[in-house]
Amino acid sequence: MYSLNNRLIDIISASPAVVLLLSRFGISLGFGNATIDEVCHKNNVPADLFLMISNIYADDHYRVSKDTLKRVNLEVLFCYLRRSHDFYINDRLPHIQRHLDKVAASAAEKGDVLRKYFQNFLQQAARHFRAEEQKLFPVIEQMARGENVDTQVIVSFEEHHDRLDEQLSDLTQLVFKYIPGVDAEFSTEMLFDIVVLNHDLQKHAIIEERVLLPYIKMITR
Amino acid sequence: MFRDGLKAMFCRIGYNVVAEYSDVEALSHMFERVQADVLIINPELVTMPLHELLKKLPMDSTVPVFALVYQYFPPERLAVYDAVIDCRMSDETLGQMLDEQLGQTNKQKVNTENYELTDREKDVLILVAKGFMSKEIADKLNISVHTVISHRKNITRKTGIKSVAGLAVYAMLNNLMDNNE
Repeated sequence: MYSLNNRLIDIISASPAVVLLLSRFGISLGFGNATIDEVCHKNNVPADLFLMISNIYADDHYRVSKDTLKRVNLEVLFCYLRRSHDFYINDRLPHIQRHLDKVAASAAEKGDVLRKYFQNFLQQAARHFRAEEQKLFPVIEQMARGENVDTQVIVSFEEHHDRLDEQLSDLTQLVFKYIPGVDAEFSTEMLFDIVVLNHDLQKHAIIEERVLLPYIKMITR
Repeated sequence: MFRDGLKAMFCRIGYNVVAEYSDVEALSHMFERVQADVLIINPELVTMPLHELLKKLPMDSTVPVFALVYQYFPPERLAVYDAVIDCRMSDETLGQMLDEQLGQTNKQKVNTENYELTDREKDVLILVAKGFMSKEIADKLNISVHTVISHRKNITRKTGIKSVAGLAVYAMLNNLMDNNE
């Protein structure tokens, strides 16, 4: 577990995925030997929140303490989550789709099945993220302001928090195990991108499960 | 006292203590009834060389044996154990160690397994792929929901595919159902 006094470069060296957080928080590179606290102050980012998410990315066993939860800056957290969604939808998934098109082209008629699968997945992912941004986040903001809200949105979020990462890793299983004759170079490129994105999506889901849901419970008490 | 602490710790990290025994006699009877993934011994209570003790137990030789220590022990006496649990270990460290040790033995077991789907599993797979819920599948096939769930677990383990959408593609690719269904 890292603290505010650790150098940002030390976290990134140990857990390179933390680098994904920088642009989502609007932190620019070239931070020298500055500590997390210093970098955050300079970039006007709530240091607690940045540290919490860094710890989630760096450590699978990290548990968010009640104190940390109480200090969560909702506005910045939602902005972070929205930017993550944008990155998945506008950057990573189209990138993987380009790989998949090459894989599918070398797989004859079985390629069509893969294309359709990915197309469905894209629609689902977009729907999932849009529902969070347009329905869930506003309701939590209202609750935090003490307004009365229809909690049905939250109940259905808890129940239907489907795992997007599972469908992506299924794609790699299908390509590797069940589609003979696919060009290894294309499928390897696709696999590496999916593995990296999946790790990111898993951490993203953890933020929602271990921060957002406990946060809701905390403010409804 | 240590045993209770250890038991609570195992529970916290998601492992079950299947049985506890304070002497070797009782231990050998235990192995006839339960299947353990790991055996934990306090080396202080072992009076004979470990390999002789293990020979007396009717236990699978792939089951790892760990030592539980709460005081200094000469390293050469601990070297015969697969791993050492220190009573000062944190939950995380213990969890990681167990995952490492047991993950390996589980993998060895899986490799000898049959990955072909049975006919019944294929029936369940097709209905899952068509979008039916476990309860509906149970009614259609005249089996219990519990059985359906256990089939679904086996299907996922054998195919490596978890999502319903992924299973539908698997079914199509393997000609278990039509493209248009």
